[in-house]
Parts: sequence; structure tokens; C-alpha cells
Amino acid sequence: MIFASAIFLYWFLPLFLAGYYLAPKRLRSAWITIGSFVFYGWWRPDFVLLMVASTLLDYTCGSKITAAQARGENGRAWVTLSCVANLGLLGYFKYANFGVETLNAALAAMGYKQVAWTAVVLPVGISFYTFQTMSYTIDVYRKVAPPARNIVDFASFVSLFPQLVAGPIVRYNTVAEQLVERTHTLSKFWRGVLYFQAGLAKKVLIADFVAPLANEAFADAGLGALDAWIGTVAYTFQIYFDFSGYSDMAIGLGLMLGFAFPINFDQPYHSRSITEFWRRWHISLSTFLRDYLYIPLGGNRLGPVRTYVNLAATMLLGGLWHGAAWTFIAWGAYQGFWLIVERLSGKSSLYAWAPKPAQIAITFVLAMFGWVLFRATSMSGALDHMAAMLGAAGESERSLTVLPIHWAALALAAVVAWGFPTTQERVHRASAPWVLALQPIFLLALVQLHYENDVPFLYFQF
Amino acid sequence: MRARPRLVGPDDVILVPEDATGARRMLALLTLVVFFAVCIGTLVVDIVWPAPRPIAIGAELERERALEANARFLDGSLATHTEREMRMSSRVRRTVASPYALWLYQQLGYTHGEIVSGRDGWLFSRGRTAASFRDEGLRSHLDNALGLLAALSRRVEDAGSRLVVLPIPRKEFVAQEFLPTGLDVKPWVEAYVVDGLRERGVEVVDLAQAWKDRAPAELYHVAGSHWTSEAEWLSAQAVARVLGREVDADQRSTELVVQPVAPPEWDLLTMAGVDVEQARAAVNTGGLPLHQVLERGTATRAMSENTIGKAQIAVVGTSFTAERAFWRLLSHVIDEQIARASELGGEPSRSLVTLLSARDGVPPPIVVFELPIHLAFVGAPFPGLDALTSRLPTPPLVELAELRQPPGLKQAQSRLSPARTLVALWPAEILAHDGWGDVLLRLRRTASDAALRMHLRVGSQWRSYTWRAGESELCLPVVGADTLNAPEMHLFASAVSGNAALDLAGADLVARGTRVGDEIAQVVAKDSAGVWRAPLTSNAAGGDALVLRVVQPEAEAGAVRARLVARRADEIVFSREFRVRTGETLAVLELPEAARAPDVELAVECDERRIVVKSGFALRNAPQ
Repeated sequence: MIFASAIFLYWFLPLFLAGYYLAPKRLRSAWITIGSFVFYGWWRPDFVLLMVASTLLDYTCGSKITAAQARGENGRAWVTLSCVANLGLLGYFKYANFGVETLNAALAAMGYKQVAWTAVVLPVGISFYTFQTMSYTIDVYRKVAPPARNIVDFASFVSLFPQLVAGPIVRYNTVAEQLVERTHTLSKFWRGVLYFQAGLAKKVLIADFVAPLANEAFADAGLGALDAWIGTVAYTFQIYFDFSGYSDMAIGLGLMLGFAFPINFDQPYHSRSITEFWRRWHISLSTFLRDYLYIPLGGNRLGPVRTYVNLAATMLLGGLWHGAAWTFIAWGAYQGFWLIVERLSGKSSLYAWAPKPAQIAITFVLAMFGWVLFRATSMSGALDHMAAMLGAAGESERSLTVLPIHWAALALAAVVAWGFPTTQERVHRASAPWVLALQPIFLLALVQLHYENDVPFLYFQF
Repeated sequence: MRARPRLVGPDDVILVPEDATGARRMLALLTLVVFFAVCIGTLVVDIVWPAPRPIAIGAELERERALEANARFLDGSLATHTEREMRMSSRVRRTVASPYALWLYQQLGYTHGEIVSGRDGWLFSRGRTAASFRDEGLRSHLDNALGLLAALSRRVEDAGSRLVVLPIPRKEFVAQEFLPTGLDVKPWVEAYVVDGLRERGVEVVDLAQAWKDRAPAELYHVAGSHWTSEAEWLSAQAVARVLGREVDADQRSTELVVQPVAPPEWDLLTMAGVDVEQARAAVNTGGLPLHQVLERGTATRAMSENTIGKAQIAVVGTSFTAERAFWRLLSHVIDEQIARASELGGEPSRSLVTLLSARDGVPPPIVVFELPIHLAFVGAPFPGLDALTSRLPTPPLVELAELRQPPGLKQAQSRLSPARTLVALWPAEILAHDGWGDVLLRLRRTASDAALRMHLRVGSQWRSYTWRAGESELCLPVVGADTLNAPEMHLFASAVSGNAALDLAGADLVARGTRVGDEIAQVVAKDSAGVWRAPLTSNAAGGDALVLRVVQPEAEAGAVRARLVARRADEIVFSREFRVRTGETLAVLELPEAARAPDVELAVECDERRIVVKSGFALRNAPQ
């Protein structure tokens, strides 16, 4: 089920919220679990079993770690089992196809027989919930969070539908207390609704309007320079408004259930360097990678060379986390490259000499080239597109259909990205003019949603 | 400027301030009322007062039925289907989306998804343009489709009938001046299809030529996807001219009446989300004439649906010829009865299958094959054409002895089921041909207890066929632009249901036609001014094609480019290039009309290496 769909908005959400608030407090976690399984199972009921298996395994591991630590042991075997199982699950479902395809390509090139293989279907959201369940056992092992009170609480954490399939990545220690005790107030619920309304509007009225340009631009090579740039700008805005819109909706739904989730975006296109960009973009992922990968690898504590290696490894794995393709690996490498270059250049930005608007513009352009790698379906496609952007792709063989409404959507995207405060700031203040203006915008988004077919969110694929 | 408030706490978790004042609580309540009134209100209205389901026809209806029949709980398809049903029966959706769609169309010139809004209210189908295609890929796509059509035309010809293809130019081509900026419609496609069909020997009606003096609005409905009555009239006349059966107006047994105003069509506007009544009100109704055919006396030009089996002329196709008056107008112009076999919402090939079924596989003497060019842009080009070849009578065939039981196909008696597929690989590079249907893969089976699903992949092109239960032989044309020296050919076979056996030991490649004239004796190429040239005997027997065993003996040279050249008094009248690999290549090469005369000298030439034509013979493709 996706948030921007009729089944969610008009059936699931009202019925789920009604059940949640009518249920006694002690049964609310169970209700969340049941509702989340329905939410997830709506896509593929059989994959709910996978999530249940992951939940049982990590709950058991968590309990065993606690028991082992009570006996004076460290419980490392159980945290290892959890990590191996979760990464194994992720590896099989997400990377097996890629691995076999790569192997077969190599075998074919060497003239050997290829391995027979039936493609594996990628369960939606597996990248998110395996990270979250893994964070539980690691946090319990590190003693930064208490073990779950019971399996129902833990199941509700793993399956918590607002952030289940596309984040933000909520770590166990962030919500451990909230799982046991959380407050439900009018202020929270209201702001949850405001987050949800704003997120839906960002997704439906901006991301979905620029999406056709991006889709068309990346469908094939052969674009001229201007069209290639327009397509890249369109995707740059699409991914931001789509993903941040989803995150806003997830945060809003969490608030409606009394949960406070971490923020995921903080005006990333205001960044003056790629380093800053990663403090503002998909914050829950970058902090997860920092705390569970970069720092355990040694972070910046083992000298400059090791720091660069750690940075590169973290970004490469971050790229690979997004998908099993060379384009994502290249995207991770690209990000890592700029982080290292910026670190080499000292604490200030690589382009510190430039005025602030120029720094923002340069960072934006660098991010756009990154998005080309991220969006293209193959490395050759990405390189063709970049060549077109640089005017080195020869004569254009096709052109983009840019209607006036696309220009309007791009302009609106730019205004919102650079001219408006963040959603969290808007919702925090909740000024009357903004709240009143948001209502017709929300209604327009709903009408637009009725008009268009349901369009899935980009981050479901990761 | 106000300071940015503290928005997040530990772990970047958002902070929520408490709203203490009554005014803020009122604001909160107002927001919640709006939110829940919309969500719950929609739920209640859609349950209590659902909207009637839209009516589906043709392929759309089939797709809907298939979705319903294949909906399963475990794989989520049932949920998807349920969601779709809910959306289609949503009263709220129907009520709000239509005026919104109309407002977007009229005020902002915007329609979503598949429909593109152009200038002056013109609407187009995005899928019928080619914005995402590159020229090169599209040409290859079209070449394959044209090869299939040529193969089909030849099979119809083998059955003693005549296939006349009627490519219908796209609305997006005809009215391209009204397209939005940047929508690349690939305007060369229409001429490419017509010229390509002609080049491959297919009879074709050039409607772009017949329509050239008319304004777009005279030919296509501004908000509809079909041609106008005026376009139908022009097209009927053009078809009659190609058929050579135009009858003088005063000798026709029906009468043409032209009404001053035809009703407009608006299906694209309804596809853009505007309901029928609003669309009707929004579309301009003036301007176009309506051509109607009236009977004189008791003569009936139109044949009823159940008599199509007896027709001498049949029209097959899609909604362009299934609806409206084209077939009546054609019947009027040629003054003969026409069987209208076209089907709504389908592919032209499907209606030809229906027609053939009604006539025990024998086509009528003339088949007018409507071919909307937009179908070239929808998935596989002109879908369903490949399936047709097995419905037509098998033509006279010549066994290509050198290619009997080629390596890779010697797998004996495979047991097949829906889950068990036979895959056979074939080194197709041993064969050079033009891919227009002259070469076929002939398969035979003794046990014919189950239908088989067959896929033939040549190079990058896939063709799908069904080998029906009860049929012991199947001939699959090897067609497509890249079949000339394609590196390999794959055959995939599985049973549609149940179990079946397939013995590929009986598979061979055959050429369509009969042998004529003498065997060509071995000819060694001699160097002449830097060109290796092997002169052949002249085509005295009037063959339509040549089958040649060509050898390039020097192993280290690899494949070389050779050509079949036809000269009359030292003037080249025809030249066709093909690749000769190291060792032996079998070339099946079509001879155009100009190269068939007895006074034309034929030769195989190569600029790179010495070649040998070891043997060969001429084929006559035309029915005996």
C-alpha cells in the first residue's frame, strides 16, 4: 500500500486510526502490528512471513544477548548471528540477481557455461526493516537501549507502517521508550496531520508533475544538451520532493500514533558542499551509516589515510544499499570522492573562495551529476546522459516534451526548495495563514490524486 | 527575521510544542475536520453510492477479464485488482476528477499521462508519438515489422489471394503542427512504412498522398483518436484505385449522401478523465461533412456478420474500419459487397484470424489489411502478426538440403509441459537471407496432443507462435531486419497445458517456392579490376529468388562482404549485399522484378577475397 493511494487514504487510514484510538492502551502495539502487516501484505502477503521471521530472529537474539550479558558474557555470538542473518537476507533478496548476472557476464566473456538462475523478487522495504532490526540487536549489545519488553512491542517497532517501506530509518534506541510509553495529544496529532498534508502536496503537486520530464529524459540516449539538463534538473527535484514528501508523511503518521520520528531532510539543496549535503539529505541513513559503519571502521580516529578509506567504503556501501547495480556503486563512489576531496581541502568548503550563492550552485550541480548516476538504468546510459549535458554527445536524436505546466512545476519546485522554510519549521510554527493555505493545497493534491493513477514513491525500490 | 526555532531533540527526533491557546486549538480542530471529513466522507460515499463501472470493449475487456481471472491473494494481484475496482467505482473520484480534468485541459492546456494536450485544443496519444525512441532503434523495430508483413503478404499470395495493406497515418503525424513543442513525432515513419512495404513487394495504399491537400481538422477529430468521415471517404477512394476496381459514380448501385455536419468525437478527452457529458459539451460540433451511403432499391452492399465466409473482398483491422462508414464507402466506390471483419479494440491480425477461421483457413481473393501506424509504437510492433502465419495454408516449399538437421537442433523427443521448456540453439550465421519470409523453420511432430507455445529468437528479435493441438507441422517464417547473418537463433517450446512431446530431429530450414531452371554449377570467382567476380547463368527460367551455396575458403580472413549483382549491358540494375563467413554460407536472395529478365546477367562479387559459388538454383515464389 502506498500513502498516496485511495485505498490508504480513504480506507486504511481512517479505519486504522479509529481502531487505534478505540483500542485499550495495552493493545495498541498489537493493533499497530496487525495494521502494519495488512499495510505491508497488501503488496505481497507472502512476504509478511519474511518480516515475521526477521522479527522473531532479532527478538530472540536481543533476548539472548541480554541473558548472556546478565551472565557476565558479552553475547557477541548472538549479535553476529543477527547481523549475518539480516545481511544475508538483504544480500539474497537484493543482490543475488546482480551477483549472478555479473558472474554470468564474466563466465560468458571467458567462454564458460552460465549459471542457471531464477530471478528473485525484491521485497519492498527490506533495506529499511533489516537495518532497523539489526540496529535493535546492536543497540542492545552495546547497551544503549534496553531489550524490548515483549515480542508485540518489538513486532510493532519492526513493522511500524509509517516508516516501514521507505524510512526514515528509525533506530531502536530512538523509539525504545516511545514503544512502551508515548503521549497522544491534540498538538501532536494535529501536527501529524499537517506533516501528512504537506508531504502529500510535495509528492503529488511537485514531484509527480516533474516526473514525466525525468522519465522521458532517462528513457534513452540521444538528447541535446539543454534537454539533458532539463531532465536532470527535473529528476533532482523529483527525487527530493518525492522522498522528502514521503518522509513528511511518515513523520506525520508517526505523530498521529504518538511517535516522534527523526527528521530526514533539512533543505539539502541549500548545502554549500557535498559534506554539508550529506548532513541534510536522507539524514536517518547518513547517521545510521556513520554510527554503525563509519565509526566502527575507525572513523577519523586512525589517521588521514584510514579516514579517507573509511569514507570511501561507507559511501560505496551506502550506494550499494540503494540498489544492486553498477550505477549505484558509481554513485556511492562519486559521493565518497567529493567527501574525500573536501576533507583534503581542509575544514572549509572546497570552493570556499566563492560567494555563498555560488557555493550552493556548485554543490547543486555536483549533486545533479550524482543523480544522473543514480537515475540512469545503466552505466553507459549515465555516461551518455552526462556527455549530452556537457554537449559532447553529438547531434541530438530526440527532444523532451516540456509543456508550460512542466516549466511551472520546475519553477515551483525551485521556489519551495530555496525560498521556503522546511516542512518541520512550518509545522512547528503552524502559523494560521500557512495552515489555512495548506488546506486547499491538500484538497487539490487529493483531487490531483483522483485524477492521476496512483503513482508509487521512488524510494520503495530501495 | 525570526530565529529558527529548535526543531529537533536528541537523535534528530522532531519536537512538538504544546498549543495552549484556544485560537490554536480551533485551528487544529479545523484542520482535523477538513482532513477527516474528506477521508471518511469519501469512504462513506463510495460505499453507499458507488459509481457504475466504466464499460470496456475489445482488448480492454479481455485485459480486464484476465486481470480478474488471474488475481491471486498470495502474490498481491488480488489486492491490486481490488484497489483498481474500488478506484473505478469511486463516486467521489468520478465526481471531482472530471471537472478538474476539463479545467486542466481548457485553462492550462494539460492532460495527464497518456494524453497530450496540443495547440488549439488538439489532443494526442503520447504512446502514438515516438519521443522516447531513437531513430536507429525505431528503424530496426519497423524493419522487423515490415518483414513480418512481407512474410504475411507472401503467405496470402501463396494461398492465391491478394493482400492490400492500408497503413493509416497517425493523427500525431497528420496534425503535427498542433503538437506541443518538443514532442518528437518522428514524421518519417509514415513514409518509411509505405516505402518499406513497397520495397518488399507488398501492395500498399499511400494515404498520406491521398490526404495531402486536406487540413488536419478535415482528417482527424480534434479531441478524438479516429479519422473523420471525410478521411474515410478519401481513403475508400484511394483503396479502390489501388484495387483497380473504381466504378463510375453513375453506375453504382448505392447512393452517396453528404450531410453538412458530422458529430464530433471526443474519446481522447474522456480518456483524459472528462466524463462523456462534459466532454460532449466541451467539444466544438461544427464544420465537418458526414458521408453516408444509402441503398438504392433493394441492393444490399453490406454483408451481415455471419456471411463473411463467403465474401470476395474483406476488410480486416481495428476500430478505424470496424466502426464508422469506411467499409460502406469502399463498397460504394467499387460497387461490390464487402465483408467487414475488423474488430473493435483489437489488433488487425486478430480480425484476420477470425476471418480465416470462418473460411477454413482460406483467405478471400482480396484482403484489405488496415494497419494503424500507431501500432508500431505499442510494445511489439503490429502485435499478433507472427501468429498469423500458422493459420494460413503452407506454401510450396523447397528443402534446403544443406541446412537439414543443423547442429544444436538434434535433441530427440523432449517431454514438454507448461513448466518444462525446450531450448534449442542454432548457429544461424550459416544462412544469409533478407528476412522477408522466404526462409522458414519447419517443425514436425508425430504426437499432436497438446498445444505448444513457441518462441523463436533471431538476433535480438522475438516472435511468438502457438502450435495448435491436432496440427502436425508448423512453419515459422524467419523474419526481421537482423536475420541476415544473425549470429544465432533460439527456439523455445513449452506446452500450453498438459504434456507434449517434440522431436527436433525432424526440424529443418526450408525456402518458400518451387525450383525452376537448371542447377548452377560451381563457379570460382576471378579477379577483375580488384573485384572477385563469379558469373552465374542468367535467370532464364524467371525465378524470383536465388539459393546459392557460397564458400569463402580462407580461414584467416573471417567473414567477408559479398553482393549479388544484376547487370544489363554493363549497367547495374540491382545489387544486394550479404555476408559470407569462413567456410560455407547458404544465401537465399530475392530478385526484384528488374533482375529477373533473361537478358540480365547475374554474378556474385566480393571486393575482399576469392569466393566460390559451389552450387545453386532459382526459386519461383509465385503460386503455381
